[in-house]
Amino acid sequence: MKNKAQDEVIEDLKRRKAVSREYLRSLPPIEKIAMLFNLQEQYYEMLVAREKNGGRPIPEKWRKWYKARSESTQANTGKS
Amino acid sequence: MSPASIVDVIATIRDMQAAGIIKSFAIGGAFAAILHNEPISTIDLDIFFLLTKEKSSPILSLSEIYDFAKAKGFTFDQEFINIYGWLVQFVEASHNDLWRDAISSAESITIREVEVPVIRREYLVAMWLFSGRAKDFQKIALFKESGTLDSAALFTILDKYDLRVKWNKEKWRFEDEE
Repeated sequence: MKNKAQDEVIEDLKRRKAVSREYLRSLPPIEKIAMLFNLQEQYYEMLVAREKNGGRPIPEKWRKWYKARSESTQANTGKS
Repeated sequence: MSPASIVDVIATIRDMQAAGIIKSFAIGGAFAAILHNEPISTIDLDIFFLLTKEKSSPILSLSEIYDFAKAKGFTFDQEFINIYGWLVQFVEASHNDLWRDAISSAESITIREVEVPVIRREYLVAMWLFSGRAKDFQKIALFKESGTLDSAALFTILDKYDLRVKWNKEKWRFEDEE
């Protein structure tokens, strides 16, 4: 059963979440895409860590994503 | 690869238009949700398109696009074309009236001074409702929560495509709890 203090904490969290999401929605498209890049990289790192620790393997779609991203980066930097 | 490389992808699709392969296109799916709303995780870029000359089968519909990709040196499999590091999924829309309408009524969003056609919010919601996967309902919930949907426009689309009953049946999944 929630008490008044818990209700206040929950309301405060909701307010902060709303402010954060309003900020994200207000970003220009290119900054949203940059954040997508970060999200993808963080998510992939998490999948790698999960697999290394005996968890489920990295999904095939994410392997494709990594391959595409790596090939493109190598092409741009001239690495082989 | 940088976030700005998205404009190179759009330029490539414009080249497909100039080559007479694609008549019209618009970004849909999660990437459209990001442009309209907030960043969410997705690996691919969905391009809904109409061919200049409609083909009799979905496989034939994509063959010209894959031929174009091959000629440009882009790698691909049966699911995605890798265009400058972006996994692009081409979705031929001629067989679905909702998707056709979504393309023809797309709005223009400017990315790095490039005008990019993006499916409107209300059409995206109708398309996600039509598909009805858990991740589609999550995106509808995001849009509902943002308060940026035009309800009148949305319900006009839902009525036009006989989706109002499905909306009423599924809305508990994405309506506010309070």
